[in-house]
Amino acid sequence: MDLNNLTNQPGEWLKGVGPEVDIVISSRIRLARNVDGYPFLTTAKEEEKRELLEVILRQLRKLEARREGEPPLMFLNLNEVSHLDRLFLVERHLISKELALGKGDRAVVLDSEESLSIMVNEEDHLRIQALCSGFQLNSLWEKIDRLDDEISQLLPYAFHKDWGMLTACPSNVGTGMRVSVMLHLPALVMTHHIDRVFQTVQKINFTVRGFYGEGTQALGDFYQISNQITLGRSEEDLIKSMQELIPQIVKYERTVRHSLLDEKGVELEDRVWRAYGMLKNARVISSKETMDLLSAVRMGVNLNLIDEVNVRTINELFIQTQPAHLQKLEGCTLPVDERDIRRAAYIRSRLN
Amino acid sequence: MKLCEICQESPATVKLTEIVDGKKNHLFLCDPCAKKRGILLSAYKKGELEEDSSEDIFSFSLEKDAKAAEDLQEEELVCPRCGMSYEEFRENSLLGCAYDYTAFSQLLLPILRRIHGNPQHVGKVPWQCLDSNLDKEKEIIRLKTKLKRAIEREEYEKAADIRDRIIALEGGQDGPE
Ligand SMILES: [Zn+2]
Ligand SMILES: [Zn+2]
Repeated sequence: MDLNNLTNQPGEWLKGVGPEVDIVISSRIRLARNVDGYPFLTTAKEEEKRELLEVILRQLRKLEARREGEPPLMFLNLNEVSHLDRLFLVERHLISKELALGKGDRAVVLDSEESLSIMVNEEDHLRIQALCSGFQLNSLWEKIDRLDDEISQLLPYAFHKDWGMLTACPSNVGTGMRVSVMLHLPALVMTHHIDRVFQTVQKINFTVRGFYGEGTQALGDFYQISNQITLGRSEEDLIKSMQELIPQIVKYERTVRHSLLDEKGVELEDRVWRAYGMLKNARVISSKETMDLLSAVRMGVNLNLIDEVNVRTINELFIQTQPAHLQKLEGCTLPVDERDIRRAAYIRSRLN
Repeated sequence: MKLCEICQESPATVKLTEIVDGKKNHLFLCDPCAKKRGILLSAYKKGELEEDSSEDIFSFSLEKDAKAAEDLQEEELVCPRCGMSYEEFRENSLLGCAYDYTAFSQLLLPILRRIHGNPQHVGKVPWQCLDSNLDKEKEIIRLKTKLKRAIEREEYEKAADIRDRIIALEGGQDGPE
């Protein structure tokens, strides 16, 4: 399996299939784990980090034998992966920025469908992550729970009966679990109702972040909602509260979309088609502007305001116009201004 | 003990991090002075606001439970296993080893309570750590549900695996305490 093969596919979580996928882009669960008997990475010495990496990878290789009928695993030592490829993995949500830009002995284990990633020596020894398109937390939990059971038989976890899985940051202790759902909320953003969503979500201990974990001004109207509490509640309980919250936000977005259609149909249509026109004709375009325009077109496609393009193409463009993806498609590293020109050309070639 | 940097009178209970032009500025304040600066004390004491999660130009974190920490602060708490001090943890909010949870438990407990509410783990227990019979019973129930699902999906190899683990757990359940 080669990283370059991934360039032309949108990645599991942008496939555009699954429940509520017009609004829920993807679901993700990650588990933070540390191996018993080793210090956390904050205080581990270089030799200890190297030993940890070796021990963990040796054990994880045993997983492969048990994965009959499942997609093959790829083991990447990040010291041997180029800077561009590491950013490429960040853009695909397969590794964190911290792991990509970090130093020293660290690795990631991926499956070829990009539905699974295990980061080794990030903030914790292990960050096990499962991703899928659409809103499907139950099957995702079943999958990662089983994998976690298998890994815990290969590597003993640092655990305390009162505090659960012990993590480097006390904000992850207990279940070590972060459940995140990525939502596309253009109508709520357009009408400023999004602030009310944020307030409500934060009040009940969930956090909101952007497409790449950034703060307030989310790119392309994408928002990730995750649980903040990890201790004192069971995994099933945390997932259940997510399953209660998300459909309410989805319904809210749908309601606002339809009242926009009823009350400001022409303006909405105008906005969608203008965005499409810009994408089809621009000669220079930044990745932020691209995300914003694609967001409007994506909503237009979901509301049947535009039928010249399908959601899959739009989803692919979201990821393929990111800086590292674009450079991989072009086969070389490019300065920012050159990138903006090539990005515009690439989008034109896909839409015309 | 640190005094509030504004009134210089009351003990500081809040560490306010202001971000100005991308640079971090730390200010140690008492509750009343923090309130005067327009910070929602109740909100962030619950740990709801994080550096990257709010629109405010202010970002803040309550670093410790001042009262519980006061007595211990003097003697400079250090983990005997990894050598990390509580001060260092306060600086970068990451612990040095699993034992820190025990070494700093008195100071961590209020923090855990603030972030999570209930500081008692009720989630998954890893395989090797099921020592009490109650834990084992809970795990057996969990595994039986999984076994049922595996059989429904005709994943017989996995089902056999799970069954072996149930048998192993049931076998060890009545052993000497
Ligand atoms: Zn004061
Ligand atoms: Zn320690």
